[in-house]
Amino acid sequence: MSVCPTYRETGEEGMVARGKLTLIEAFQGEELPLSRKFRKLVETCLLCGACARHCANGVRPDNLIQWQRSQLRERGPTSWTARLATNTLEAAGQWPRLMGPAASLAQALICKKIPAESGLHLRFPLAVLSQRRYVPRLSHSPFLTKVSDRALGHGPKVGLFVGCVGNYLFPQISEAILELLGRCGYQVIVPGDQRCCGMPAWASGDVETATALAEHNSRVFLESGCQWVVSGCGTCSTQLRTRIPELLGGAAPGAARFFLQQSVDLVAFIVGQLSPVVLRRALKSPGKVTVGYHDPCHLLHHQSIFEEPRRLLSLLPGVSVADPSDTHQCCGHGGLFNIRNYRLSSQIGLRSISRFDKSGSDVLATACMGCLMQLQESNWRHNAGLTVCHLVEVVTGRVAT
Amino acid sequence: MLVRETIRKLSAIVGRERCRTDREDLICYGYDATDLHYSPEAVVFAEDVKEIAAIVRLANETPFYLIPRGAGSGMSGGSLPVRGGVVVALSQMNGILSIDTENLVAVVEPGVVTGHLQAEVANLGLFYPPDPASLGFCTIGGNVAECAGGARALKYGVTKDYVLGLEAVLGTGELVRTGVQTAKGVVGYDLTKLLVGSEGTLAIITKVVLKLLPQPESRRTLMAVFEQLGEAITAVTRIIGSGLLPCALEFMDQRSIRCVEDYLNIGLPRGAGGLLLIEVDGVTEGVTRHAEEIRELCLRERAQRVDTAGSEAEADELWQARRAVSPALFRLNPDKVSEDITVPRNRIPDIVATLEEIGQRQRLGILCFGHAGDGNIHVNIMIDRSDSDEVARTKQAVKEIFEATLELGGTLSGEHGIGITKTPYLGMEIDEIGLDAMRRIKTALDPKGILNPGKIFLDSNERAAVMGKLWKTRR
Repeated sequence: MSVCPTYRETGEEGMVARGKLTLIEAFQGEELPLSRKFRKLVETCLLCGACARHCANGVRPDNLIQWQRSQLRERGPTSWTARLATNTLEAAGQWPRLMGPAASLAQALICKKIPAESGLHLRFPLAVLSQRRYVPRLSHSPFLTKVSDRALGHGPKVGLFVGCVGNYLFPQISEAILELLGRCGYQVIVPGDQRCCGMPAWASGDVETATALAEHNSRVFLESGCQWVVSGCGTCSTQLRTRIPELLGGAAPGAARFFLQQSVDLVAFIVGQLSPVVLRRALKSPGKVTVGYHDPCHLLHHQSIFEEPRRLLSLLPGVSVADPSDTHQCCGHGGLFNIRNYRLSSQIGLRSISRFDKSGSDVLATACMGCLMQLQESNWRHNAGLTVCHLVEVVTGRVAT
Repeated sequence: MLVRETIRKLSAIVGRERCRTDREDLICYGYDATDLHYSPEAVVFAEDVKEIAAIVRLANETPFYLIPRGAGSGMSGGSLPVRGGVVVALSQMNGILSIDTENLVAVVEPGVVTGHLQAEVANLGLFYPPDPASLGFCTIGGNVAECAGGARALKYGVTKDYVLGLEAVLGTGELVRTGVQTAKGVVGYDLTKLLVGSEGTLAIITKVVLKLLPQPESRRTLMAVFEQLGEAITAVTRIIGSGLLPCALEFMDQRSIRCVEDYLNIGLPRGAGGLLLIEVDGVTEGVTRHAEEIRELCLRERAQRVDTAGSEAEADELWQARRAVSPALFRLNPDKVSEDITVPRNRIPDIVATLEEIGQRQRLGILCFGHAGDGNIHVNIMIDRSDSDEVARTKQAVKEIFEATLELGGTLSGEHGIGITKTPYLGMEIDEIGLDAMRRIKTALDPKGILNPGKIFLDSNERAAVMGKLWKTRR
C-alpha cells in the first residue's frame, strides 16, 4: 500500500491492490454484480508492478488485474478507452467517427498514417478528446520508412525493435540508438515489417490482439537472423521479454525461448555485454550537466533494471547524477491510464517531476517512451524547466541544455 | 438500516462525491489487516473537524453507528464495522499542519501516514520514533487510537509517549481539546492518555500534537546468531543488565529463521536456534563503543557469529530478515493466528519454554519473533483453517498462551489492541471492577454508544459470536 501511486494520490481503498483483489474476488464469487464502478476501478491501475515487486508472498496483482480486464472484455460493452483498444486491428475505418466533431481533420489525416494496431492510435485522436495538452509533434517521416530492412554497420547482429513512439514521435531517439549500437560495435538490423509491441492491447485485456502482434513480431525478428532483439523503450522491452514468452509459450516454444533469453532492454544490453573501457569509448558526454534518471516501472519493477543506467551515466565525464531524496515514483503515464484518468495521471506526474526539480537536475533522462511523453508533459504543465529526454540522447551527447 | 433520508443528510455534510454507498466501497471499507470482513452501510470521507462534528451529531440524532478508520492496517479489527453503520474514513485528512523546530512539536491531522511524517521531520533533523511495521501506510490517527508500538519501543517508548495533546470529537458531537503543546502539563485529568489507545470508542481524533526528538547522530546495526534460543535470550538479559540501552533488540526463533532463509536465501544459518538483531543509536563515539561492547557480550554468550553493518545499505540488509518474517510465514500454511503478548523482560525464557511446550502438546507449529528487548513477543501459529481439528487445537493453545502470559505478570496485547479479536479474552486480564470503570467512562463520553460499537466490551452473547467467527473452519 505504501508503494501504490494511485493510492498515494487518492487515499482510497479501491485504488490499492488489497482493495482491487478483494473486489475481483467478490466479483468472481458473484457477490458483486458487474457495474460501471467495478469496471472503472479495474481500469484505474497503472499496472506499474510496484505492489507485485514489493509483495513478500509473490502475489502478482498487476497480472490479476490484467486478467480481470480480459474477462470483462468478454462480457460485453466496456469503457470507451478499452473499447478502442480492443478494436485496434480492424478499427482503421472507424477513427473519424470515434473522434467526433471535436477532433480536427488535420489530426485525423495524420493519424491515418499510423497503422491501426499501433498503441499510438489509441492516443492521438484522443489527445483532442481528452484533456491532454502537450502532444509531441508527429514526425513527417516515420523512422521505419527511412531505415528499414537495411543492415547497418559490422559486428554481431542486433535487431532493433523501434516501437510506435520511437517510430512516429521520436525518430531522432531511434537514430541515436542506431548510432550508439554502431559505436558499440554491433551490426543493427531494423526489420521494416515490425509492429506495435502489443502492450496497449494486452494491458486493456485484449489478449487476442496482443497474441497476434506477438506472433507477427516474433516471426519478423526470427527471420531477420539477428542474435538479439534490443529496444530503447522499457515498455516494449518488457512486452517482448516477458509477455511474448507467456503468450506464445505453448504454441511456439522456440520463439518464446528466443524472446525470453535474447530480447533485452537497450541499456541493460550494452552495460551487460561491454566492458567499461569499451563503453567509455562508445559514449559521448554532453559535458557538464546534472542528470536525474527516472526509473521506468517496466524496467525497475518488471525487469529489475536499476544499476545499469546509473552505471552508464557514471561513465560520462562532466556528468553528475542527481539523487532525489524521496523514493521512486511512477510517472503516472500507464498507457491508456493517462487517457482514462487524466487528472489522476497528471497529479502523479507532478509528484514525479517535482522530485527531480527539487534535486537540482538540469536534465531528466529516462529509458521508456511512455515515461518520456508523460515527463515532457508534466515538465511543461508545471513549468519545471528541465530538459526531458531519453537516456540514449544523453550518452550520445545529443542533449542540449 | 440507514434510510435514504440519512444518506441524503450525510451527503449534505460532506458532499455527494465523498459519501459512498456503492457496493464496491462497502466491500473495500469492510476489512482491515485481520482476515475478517463486515460490511458497513456507508462510507464517508471527512475533510475537516466541522464535518466530523456534524456527522457525529447526525449519528446521535438518527441514530446510527460510526466507525473511524485510518488505513485499515490494524491487527485486532479495531476499524471493522462489526454492527454496520457508517465508516468515517480519515485518510484524506492528511495534512502536516506545523513542525516547530524550536519547541520540537509537530501538529498533524489524523490521516498523515506515519512514514511520511518521519521523513518530513527527518528533513529538519528531527525524529518521530514510533515505528510500527506498517509505517509505510498506517496513519497517525490509527497509531494514536491503537497506541501503536514498534521495534524502537525499548528505548523510545510507544505512541502514547509522544502524544502531547489532541483535538477530538466526543461521542456526543462536542469538540474537545486535550493536553498541551508544551513539554509538561498537569492541568486536570489526563484526557490525552485516556483517548490514546481508546480504539475509536470514545472520540474521533481530528488533530494530534506530537512530541519530537532530535535525530540521533548515528546508528549501528548488529546481527548475532546463536545455536540455542536460550543463549540468545540470555544475551538479551545481559545486554540490558549491563546498562546498555539499544534502540531495538529483536529476536527470531529457529522456525522463523528457517522460514525467512527458505524465502530470501540470504545466508542465514538454518541450524541456528536463535537470532538477535540489535540497533544502537546516539552520538557517533558512543554508538561505536556500545556496538563493540554488545558484540563482545554476544560472543561471550556463545554467539556463533556477530555481523556489524558498516553502512545504511548493510543495515537494511540485516533488517530485511526481520521484516520478512511475517510475510514469509505464509509459506508454511495458508492461515495465520497472530498474538502479541508481552511479559516482563526477564520472563522471556519462561514464556518461550511454555510456548514450546504448548506447541508440542497441541501439535502446532508455533513461531516466535519480536521485540525481545521489551518483552513483546509475536506468537504466530500457522494453520490450515480447513482442518477443523487443527482450528480447535489452536483455539485451546491460544487460551493456554494467554493464561501463561498472565501468570508470568504479562499482558495480552503489547501493541495490537483489543479491537474484536481479543474481546473474548479481555476478562482474563481485567477484573469486573476495572471493566465497569471503563464502561462508565464510555457511557460518559459516548452516552448513546454511537462510536465503534462491538469493540473491547462485549456481553456474553456477543463474545460467543466473536469466538465463532474467530475460530471458524473454512469450508
